[in-house]
Amino acid sequence: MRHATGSHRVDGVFVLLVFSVFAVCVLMVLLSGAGSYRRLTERDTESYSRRTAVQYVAAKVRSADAQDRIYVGAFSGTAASDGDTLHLLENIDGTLYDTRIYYCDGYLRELFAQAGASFEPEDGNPVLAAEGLGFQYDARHHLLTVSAADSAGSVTEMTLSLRSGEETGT
Amino acid sequence: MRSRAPLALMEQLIMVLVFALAAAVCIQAFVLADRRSALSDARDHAVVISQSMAEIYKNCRGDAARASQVYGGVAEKQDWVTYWSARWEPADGAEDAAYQIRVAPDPRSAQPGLGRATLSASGSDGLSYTLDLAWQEADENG
Repeated sequence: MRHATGSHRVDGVFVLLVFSVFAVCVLMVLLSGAGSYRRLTERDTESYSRRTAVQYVAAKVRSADAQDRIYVGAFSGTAASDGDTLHLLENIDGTLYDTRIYYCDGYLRELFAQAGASFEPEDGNPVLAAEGLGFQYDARHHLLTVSAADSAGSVTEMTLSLRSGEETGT
Repeated sequence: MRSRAPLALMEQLIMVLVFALAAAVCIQAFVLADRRSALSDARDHAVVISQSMAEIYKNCRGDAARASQVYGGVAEKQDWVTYWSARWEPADGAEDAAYQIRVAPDPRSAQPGLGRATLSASGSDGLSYTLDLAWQEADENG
């Protein structure tokens, strides 16, 4: 009788052990899967915010790249070699229009209006969420450097060579 | 009457073994996905830097020494090489670098007026990315 009770106790401990191994396995797989998924989504988000802003500006510059049609400066229109606004000029039916690309209130914004028209930075259309945007123009080599800061605080730089070889205003 | 306890234990053991096998397969898949994602992230960084380097190299008309003065990196004979750390910050040389991006003139560029080069990014994690560059060689007057 005593022997049977001891055997049952060993059986019970063994079942508990097997169940513990099972539980640990489940936990490991779940944790590993959750960790992988988290890293994947983090990298995806970083990658999106890193590339989108600079690629967007690059595409705009490429489409507007003509002599005396691109310059860097302040939102108001004052030209400088280092500024927070990119101005892309376009002549439509004899009237000069200015597309301003800049950062304001957590967004990369774009404002298309007649050149010299008085607007506030908040008037531009928000294009995508960002933490900052800056432009530098190297007049000697005709190189435009775009710096975009993403929500994680990392700054991505892209350098573009102006095919027209000239910017206006500086 | 014989006890059925050993049979039940065998069942449980088999169940745990099958699950452990499935777990091993899952973990392997997770690790592989993580590695691919890291490689994709590295390629993403490489593409952004490569675009800048391609623009500068074309701007300098294939002059590696001039390009290295403008952007950084070193001119090795006719090649222009930049070195990057594992966090994609500029590295001093090949010893400290996890990645390198090299722009080399393409020997096929025999056609007058057409410049050609090959940009290749490589890394210790298996990163391999190649970009063919071509540009019109304009004279000073355009």
